[in-house]
Amino acid sequence: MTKKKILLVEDEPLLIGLYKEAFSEEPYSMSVAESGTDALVQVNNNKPDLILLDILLPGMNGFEVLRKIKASSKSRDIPVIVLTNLGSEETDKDRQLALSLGAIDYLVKSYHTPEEMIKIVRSRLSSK
Amino acid sequence: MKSTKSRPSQLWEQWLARLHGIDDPQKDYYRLELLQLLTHSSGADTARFCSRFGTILCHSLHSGSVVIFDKKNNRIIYKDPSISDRSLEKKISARLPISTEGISIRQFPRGVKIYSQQPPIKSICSLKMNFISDEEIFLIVTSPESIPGEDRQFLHFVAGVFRLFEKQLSTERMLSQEQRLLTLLTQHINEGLVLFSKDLAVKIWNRPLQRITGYSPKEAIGKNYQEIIRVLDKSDWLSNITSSYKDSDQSGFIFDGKILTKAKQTKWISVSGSLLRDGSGEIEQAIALVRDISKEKALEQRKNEFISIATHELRTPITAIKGYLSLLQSHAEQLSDKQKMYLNNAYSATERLVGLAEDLLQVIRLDEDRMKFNLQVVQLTKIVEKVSIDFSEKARRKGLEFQLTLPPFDTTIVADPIRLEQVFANLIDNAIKYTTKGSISIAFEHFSEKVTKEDKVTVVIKDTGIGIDSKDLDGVFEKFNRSDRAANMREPGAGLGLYIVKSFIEKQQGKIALKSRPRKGSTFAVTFPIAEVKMRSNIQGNQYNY
Repeated sequence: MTKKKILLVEDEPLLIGLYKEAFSEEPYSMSVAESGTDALVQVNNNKPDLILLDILLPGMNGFEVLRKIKASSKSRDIPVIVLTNLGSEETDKDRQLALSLGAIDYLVKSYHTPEEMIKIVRSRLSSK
Repeated sequence: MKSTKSRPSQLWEQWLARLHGIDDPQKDYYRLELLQLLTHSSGADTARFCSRFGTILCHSLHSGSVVIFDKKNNRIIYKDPSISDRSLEKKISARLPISTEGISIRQFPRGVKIYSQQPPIKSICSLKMNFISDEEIFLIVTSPESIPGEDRQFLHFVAGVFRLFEKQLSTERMLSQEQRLLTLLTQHINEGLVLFSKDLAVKIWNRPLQRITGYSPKEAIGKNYQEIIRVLDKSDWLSNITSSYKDSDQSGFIFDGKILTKAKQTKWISVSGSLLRDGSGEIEQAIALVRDISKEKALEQRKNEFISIATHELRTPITAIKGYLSLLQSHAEQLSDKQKMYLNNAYSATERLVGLAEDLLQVIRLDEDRMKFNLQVVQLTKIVEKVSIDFSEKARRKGLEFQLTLPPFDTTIVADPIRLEQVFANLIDNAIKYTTKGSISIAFEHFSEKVTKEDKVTVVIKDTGIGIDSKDLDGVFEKFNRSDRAANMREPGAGLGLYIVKSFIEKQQGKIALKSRPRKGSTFAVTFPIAEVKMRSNIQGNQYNY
């Protein structure tokens, strides 16, 4: 069975390192895009099974990237989990924006341990 | 006695000359100028005025010398430099009769009277000047010879002018000391002052308000407030003053808001005032002080932006630290017990950092009114019960009795369930934190508001903890405020919890009250209006279920 592909869109080296490390023991292959443009190229060339998408990115921000992913029939069905260190997970405007743009989840990075993140990804991929 | 006497073209004389011609269009202006000179001459200024007045007069007269005497304080305020007769001063000061004819200062009548006297004082002209206050000033003009006709006329004229002023003073707003004080206060106080009628038309509008809003008193008075105070906030706080307080006996109000000035500038103002009611409690007028707080707001915004950026920046390294620590924890089999303990301590310290960053962000969002409340119909009991279950274990571990009494009555309210949970989690957590022995009890009360007849429900959270000193009670709900006792308990916290709690409650139409006695414990009472049946059906589709 081929490993499921996860695309991590994140520009912060500290967190790229953390998530790569955490996911390395899981049956997933993780690739990283450090900008929105890069993310869209990767989505196009090597369609991932799930995207972890940061909001604060150099150039195009996460919401823009999400909008573009959901606008294309090729990538519309890829589940996107928005990750952020802005705002809060509760009744925040950003959360509502992310969900209205088609994200399946909105997670504040500092709230969750990598293990919790993996659990969420796992359940999202299995329910797909 | 001056050697060269001329009539200088002093302002004073100009005014008088102008006043002579009744049809002069400038008359009112000069009259006002003089009036101002007089009305602003209270207390210490009277002396200054008199000396100015005396100089002018002394130059205006062909003959004679001018003495101005303050009867109340029994002293000479102004003396023509040409007077060298010391005995005159002495006589006046001692309030002895000046003339051999027995005319005493006390009997000096109002207006100008010219008396002939023995040498060295040949003639005296007296003029009683009553200023607004109870001071009595006498103007005495002495002359070695009889006062020539021209000067006599002039002095009569001066007396006439003063009488005119006196009349003005009494007919205009200078009737009483209080009114004068009020005018001084409204025009010279360095804050905006406004008086509204009950339909919010402007009755008083002072100069500082012109600085703030751009509208002069002339433009503002008589207008409805909406024409001159353009409120930019979503809710028109100003029109709410009279409507929302109508049925309560509350009379003070204070709020900050954004307005648009005449020059289309946005400004922040702080308005604090009170409602003036008639005997039956009906609102008659509202008076308020208005302060321009744009600078403070801009500063606060910059501060908030800084905290916001700093917090977001903090979150990234915290995420990494917390993440790696938790990865380490999941591979902890090879670690010694001591190493595991270090790891657990580091992890819980990081958790605290996460919580602190979260609190800071919430405070900023509250301050900037960016926090959204997802209002739904909720059962207050359900939420309190859920939080109580979550925390009862913590209380038990501390050896505290934990008691929740559910009420027999309906506790349906309109609120944001997540925020509400945060409120009670914070209050109950605090109760446990600051109680070392005894109990935490939670109960519900139901009552009807006296005036509005509105049904309310109160959650009472009572502990037997350290309590709060009465001197600290007022500041408990302010941000970054921690009581000494709390700090002494070495409990972590930035003093943000209760500020967030209070803000959350108030944003959901609730109220919080606190009673506390040191070493006896604290009681927090959180009150919400019970949702009306009509309101419930409107929001019913959004029912919140646990």
